[in-house]
Amino acid sequence: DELDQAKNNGWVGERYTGYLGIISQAQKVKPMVDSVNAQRKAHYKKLAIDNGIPLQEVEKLAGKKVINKTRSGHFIDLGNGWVKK
Amino acid sequence: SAPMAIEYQLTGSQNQPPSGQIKSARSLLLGDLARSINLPEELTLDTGELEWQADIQSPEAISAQISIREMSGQYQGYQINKLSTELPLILKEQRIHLQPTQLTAERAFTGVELTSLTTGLTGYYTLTPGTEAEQKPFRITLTDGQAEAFDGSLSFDQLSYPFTPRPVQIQLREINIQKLINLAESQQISVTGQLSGDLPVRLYDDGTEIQQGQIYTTGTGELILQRNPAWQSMLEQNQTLGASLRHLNHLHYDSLSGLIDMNKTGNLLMQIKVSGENRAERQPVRLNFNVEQNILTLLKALRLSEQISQTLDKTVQRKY
Amino acid sequence: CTPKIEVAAKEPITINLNVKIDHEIRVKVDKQLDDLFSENSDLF
Repeated sequence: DELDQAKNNGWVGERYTGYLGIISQAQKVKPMVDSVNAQRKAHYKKLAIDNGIPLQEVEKLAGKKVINKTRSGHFIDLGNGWVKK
Repeated sequence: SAPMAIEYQLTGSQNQPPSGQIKSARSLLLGDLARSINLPEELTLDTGELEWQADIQSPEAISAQISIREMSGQYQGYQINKLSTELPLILKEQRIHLQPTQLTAERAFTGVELTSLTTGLTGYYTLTPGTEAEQKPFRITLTDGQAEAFDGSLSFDQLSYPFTPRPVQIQLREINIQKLINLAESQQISVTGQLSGDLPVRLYDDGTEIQQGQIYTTGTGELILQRNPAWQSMLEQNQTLGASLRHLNHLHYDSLSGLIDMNKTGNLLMQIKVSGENRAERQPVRLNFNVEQNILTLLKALRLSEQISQTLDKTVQRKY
Repeated sequence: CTPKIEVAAKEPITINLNVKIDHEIRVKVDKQLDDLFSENSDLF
């Protein structure tokens, strides 16, 4: 789908924050990235409320997971710049 | 699969049993060995080398030496890095004896990071089923175990399996309190100082107990809750309580000591007494702080999140 | 010289604090995130 294609082309990558980050081709990918991140935030908020923990806790755990699930060859940001996994 | 190349020099004739030596021709790569035999699904052996040698004087007098060098592996989130040991074995009276030896490892992870591990090792394995039917036919004993953890050290006198009623005396020395707290509480609670302790630990097949463990600080330190949002909001919501609790926003302590008890389900109760002063208001304070948590669940949560960043390290050079 | 006011050392106050930390939540959230990712592969 659009997200995988953007990842394969190296336009977007996963960040330790739990959200997608734009690497290049911003005008092409920005709508998709904003939509995906908005939906992710909604899910994280629900988990935070269900478990009575701060949103940042959920985002931190999700951040570790999205980075770990990233396939080799795709890009990730650990907090100090984009790195190819 | 890894060829089991062996070399042997054996002498013997019809009526005389063979004697001499058998040994591995070259060291066996544990990673290859692991791939060639199907290990339990969650056990992986990444690196390490194994060599063995057996000397046969007669069928009753056999000695062997197994050497393991820099073995690293992982099992369900537990990790061991660069474990090395020499295992001198002797067959005597239907029992294989492991002569006292030493085992070291560079790092181990159990939810908690341990480095520079060393321990004495000995044990036996009984070949013929002994009279003590219910007893397990083997025993392994670790002695004078040592490891570094949280900028301090952790040691135990003796630990043996199958477990015995005798408690294992675990000693903590100069543990960095802040690093300990960061494990359990990701909010901003800052406590400086170093902690030591003596914990009698009873090991059972179905769990671990700590009875009347003692912890104490060696020197003074500070407790700062100022930057903890949950604490601040609690103070604001509760004026009466806040009047005294606000002293904990910044407390200089001169002594901290406590008792630790943990039951088999991992439920740990710490009863800590702190004597100190809120210097801003020159107010002496006596704090009785009881905290209860399940350590096994905490360690599981830590292994879960570490498992994620550990596999991350393998694929990405930069550490985060 | 200004008179030095000797403030009698204050009486120590005693604070009792009982806290119970639940780590089960972190393990539970971890599992819920796994389910979230598998159910929304278009988002992750």
